[in-house]
Amino acid sequence: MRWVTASLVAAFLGCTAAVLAGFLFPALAYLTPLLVLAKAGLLVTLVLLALAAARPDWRHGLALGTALTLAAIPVPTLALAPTAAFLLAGWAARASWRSQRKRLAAAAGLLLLLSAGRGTLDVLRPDLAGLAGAGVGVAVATALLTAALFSLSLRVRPVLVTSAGALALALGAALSLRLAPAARFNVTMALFVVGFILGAAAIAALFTWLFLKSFERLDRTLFHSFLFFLPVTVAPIYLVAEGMARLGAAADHPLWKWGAFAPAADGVLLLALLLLVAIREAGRRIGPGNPVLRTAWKFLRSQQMVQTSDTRSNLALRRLVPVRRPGSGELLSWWSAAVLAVAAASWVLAPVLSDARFPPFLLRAAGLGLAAAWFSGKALAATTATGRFNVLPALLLASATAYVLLPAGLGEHPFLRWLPVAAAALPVLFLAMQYATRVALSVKMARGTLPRSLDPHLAPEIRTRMREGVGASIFASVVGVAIGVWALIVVLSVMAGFSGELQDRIIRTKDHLRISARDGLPSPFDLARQIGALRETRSASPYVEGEAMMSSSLNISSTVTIRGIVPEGHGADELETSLVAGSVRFLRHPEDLVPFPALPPAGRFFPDDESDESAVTGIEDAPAAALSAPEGLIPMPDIPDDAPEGLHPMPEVADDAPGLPPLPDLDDPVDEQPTRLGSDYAVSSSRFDVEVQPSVIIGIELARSLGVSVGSRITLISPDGEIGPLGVQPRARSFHVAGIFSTGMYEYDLKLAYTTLPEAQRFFDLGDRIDLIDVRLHDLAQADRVREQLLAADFGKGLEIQTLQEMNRNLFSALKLERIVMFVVLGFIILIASFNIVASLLILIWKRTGTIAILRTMGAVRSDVLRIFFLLGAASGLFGIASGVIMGLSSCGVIRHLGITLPREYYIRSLPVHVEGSQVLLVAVAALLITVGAALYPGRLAARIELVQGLKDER
Amino acid sequence: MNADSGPLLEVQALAKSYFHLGREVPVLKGVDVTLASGEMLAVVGKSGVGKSTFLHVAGTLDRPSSGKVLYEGSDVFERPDDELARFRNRHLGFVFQFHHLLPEFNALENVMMPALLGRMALPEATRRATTLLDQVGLSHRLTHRPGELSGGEQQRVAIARALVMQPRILFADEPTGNLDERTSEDVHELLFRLNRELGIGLVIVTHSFALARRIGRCLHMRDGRMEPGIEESPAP
Repeated sequence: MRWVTASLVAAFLGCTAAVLAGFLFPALAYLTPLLVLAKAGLLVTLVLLALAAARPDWRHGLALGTALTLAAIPVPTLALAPTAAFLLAGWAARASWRSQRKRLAAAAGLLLLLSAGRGTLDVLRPDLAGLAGAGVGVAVATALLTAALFSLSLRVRPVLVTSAGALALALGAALSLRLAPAARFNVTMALFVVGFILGAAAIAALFTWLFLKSFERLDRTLFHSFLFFLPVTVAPIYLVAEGMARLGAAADHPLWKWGAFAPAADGVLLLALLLLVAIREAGRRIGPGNPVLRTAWKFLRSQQMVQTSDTRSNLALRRLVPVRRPGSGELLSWWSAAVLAVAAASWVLAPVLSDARFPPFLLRAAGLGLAAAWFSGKALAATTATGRFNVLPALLLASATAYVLLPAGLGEHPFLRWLPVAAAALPVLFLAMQYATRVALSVKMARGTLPRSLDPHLAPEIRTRMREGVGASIFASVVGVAIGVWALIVVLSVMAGFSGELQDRIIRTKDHLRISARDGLPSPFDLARQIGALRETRSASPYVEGEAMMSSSLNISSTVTIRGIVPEGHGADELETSLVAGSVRFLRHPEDLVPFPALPPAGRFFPDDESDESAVTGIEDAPAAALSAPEGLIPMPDIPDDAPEGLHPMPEVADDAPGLPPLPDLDDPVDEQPTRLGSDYAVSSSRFDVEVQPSVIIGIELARSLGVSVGSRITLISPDGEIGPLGVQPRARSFHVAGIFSTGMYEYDLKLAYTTLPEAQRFFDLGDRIDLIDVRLHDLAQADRVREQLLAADFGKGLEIQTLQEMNRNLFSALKLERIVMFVVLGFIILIASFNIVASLLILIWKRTGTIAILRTMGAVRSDVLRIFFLLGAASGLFGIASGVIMGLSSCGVIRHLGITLPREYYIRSLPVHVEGSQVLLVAVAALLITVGAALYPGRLAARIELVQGLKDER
Repeated sequence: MNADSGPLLEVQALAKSYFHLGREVPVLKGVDVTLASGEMLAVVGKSGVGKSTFLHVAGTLDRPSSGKVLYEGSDVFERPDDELARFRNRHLGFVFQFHHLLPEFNALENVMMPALLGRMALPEATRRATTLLDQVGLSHRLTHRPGELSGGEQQRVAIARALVMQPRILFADEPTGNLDERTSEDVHELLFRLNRELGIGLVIVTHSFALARRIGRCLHMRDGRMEPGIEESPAP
């Protein structure tokens, strides 16, 4: 039997490996769907085997878990998996109903419905399988969480439910942020931040709690642990799946993308399971026999709290509220879970079910509102303090509803405007009603007209009980560490994203190596060719650079750096890709530009409210065209729509402009068309100058400030002019705008302009002299090495070489400094949290002085005592760090996936996130050092306690 | 057990002082006691005369200001703290007035603890602890926590714990001070039986003269000194 199981597991893992191989070697990718199906089959067999071997009372749960997993498979399975899930769930429902396990039966029934729906959807709309799987996945998570809540019978449910609510709030905020336009940035951002922090704190609590609980439950069956670990592993699964999908991005079919989910899920779950087994085995081998471990463990579990004040207030409440029906006091029920599931389903399915009359947000709000109403009702009907905690989810759900409705509230209809207010007011109203009831009842009590059945003296007592579990204070410090680590990872990742984005833009625009010589380069083109032939370099092109002012009919710019470049080769291609209008081609062929009229005043093209890049191109209703540069050349509103095809400027150029041969080819029909078009214009409007003028490519901000567009005429003014009869006269020359680029760096977009090398030489009066060579590398990290290599080469004598980092030293060092400062500042959170660990350990030591003394009496040495408390502190730190890392990674995943839109000023569309493994590791290690250091002090203190003193303190 | 050698425990000129606000407060002022292997000894006296301090120092829980404690002829306080702890673990057992059981551990675990601290393997420790708990009549209470046991049961668990390493001497500090008469009697019987059957030396600090009389040898402590014999004094 064991061998059968082992070989099945091996086959399962083999399939996983094969799927992974499919991502690495696209040739094998066609097997992926088959392998995923095979895996599903193997899993079913394994689980059936486990079912056969399981204890009878576990079978139902096991079957249910399997069914859940099956129904949540996010790939179309020809309704196979849902059918299996349906059968399993049906069996579980029947069996558990017979054995009077109603909750389990209800869960099975719910799953029955879910899998039936899923199966139908699989047949009718296989393309929605991913969505359906995700939907069931949400239900799975909800159900598991609820099941965990019930099976753990601890009084931390309020925390959990609050967590879930806060999470919903945060997610709602995040999602509605996507809906909200950037104009409401500040409000939404603030709300989002608040929601996110709340949510994060909640997730921190949840994760740490789950961690601790799952470790506490190491004695449970493996499969239970497996299921238990599922919620913990969902977030990493997501991340890994994303990574896998990126690996498999070569395969276009969406199936493969989802297929990536399968090995990721297996991988993470198996890893978690192996970890669990390892910990359990290690614990079994050394734990019980090791007095230090055993004592530390007992201490961790046994910090007790007497909830007297709580109980007292419970009793007070109970005296005032009527008992409606027994059992109305629980916080969560399967009905609540179902309502939550409906809310979740309405959320997930909103885009599918919505139509013009019911926009998605309305459906979502309906789902959330329903759940809010349900919880409010439960809170109102509650007869116990636990039941009253229903207010929390009710409040959170109501605010989530309000938030979802926010876009509507800002809409035109006055009714809609009041919706969010109403949604938010609802729970307040409920609470007010509840208080009114209480007041009325207390009046009745005072008069003595209260029914006997409601008499608090006859009601059963609420017992004051000692609670056993993970100590609250240690728990709090664990959460503190988790939040610190979380914040560090998220902030550092966002900052890394920002600086990476910035660097990327600089790298794309600027020279990686700038080669110059004091007296001009002797033979720049040969030199460039030699350098360009190196393995590390991508291109090397000579250029000249100078400063000039630029003026249009509207405005005069400040100093602009003019670069004279060779408009062909790699550098030109890169420039071409950053163009939003025009083409590099026009640098080479300014004559193509000539015929175009100077465009109307820019005010028309740059409306203040809609300053999108498409506006620059002059085609407001075709923003997509803005991206393909040559089409951006159609800034002629006069052309009638029904103009003959031939008149339309260069439809073909759009496709092959970047790949055009570098030298002018006069026979090329592509070049003829605009000329023909131009000549028409030249005829029709005689006021345009038909003289061919050189052209220049300028940045989008410069274009905006000058109010020019492609084809416009501008004047370059050189500051060092010729000495004429009236003193120094600036040299001026007319250019046409050949293109407009956008690098994403404001400075470059405002201060940079490109023209051809000869034109620049002529304008700056340089003759044949070329000063500079722009070298681009494959890998910027090799800049220093390449420089050394070049300086050592025989042609490198007398050259001066600057790297990109040197030229932008200020920026790069500022970015680095910023990150270091953030690291330190946020590191303080962890430091503070570690003081929490110290404090809670000190409390523990104070409470356990007697125990410490008796251990010493029995022969424990001082270092044993130290180790007990050190272990406790280090373990709390470790738990906190682990949860923080998971939270941080999943938050980064969520941010990257949802994309937080940034306002225009930031020049980056959405919040960039870049998770660096080394940084996460650094954070984790730093946090570990801090917490371990923090654990050392209380440990030493405990070890130093005088034995006899401890014995006396016990009394 | 080698009965022919010298005394098992020899306390010589033991003095212990505490310092309060810079002033020396002498508690023990030169105590001399010897205990042969398997012998029983009762120490009686009023509250605050230093009985417990004597027990702590003789039991190596505290270091004396001056004087020596010899076990089989060797001075134990020449050893460093950690070695002293190991010595205690292997050769001495303690029972206190307040049972001092670890509240988080069940009876079996409590009894096993000294064995585990002595780096004994778990199965062996479990076996010994189970046997001992059976001997003290608690085989049905193995998994109960101290909070779930009665006072007498708790004290019996404490005794079992003190014996798990098979010590040569058992120090008992008012072992029945908190128990009613009937239960006290049971606990006393248990102690005597263990002394008889296992040959464990017993040092009992008590202010119960009834108990002291039943133990053959009795020392009276007064003003930090040890005097032989029981002097009747009206204890309130």
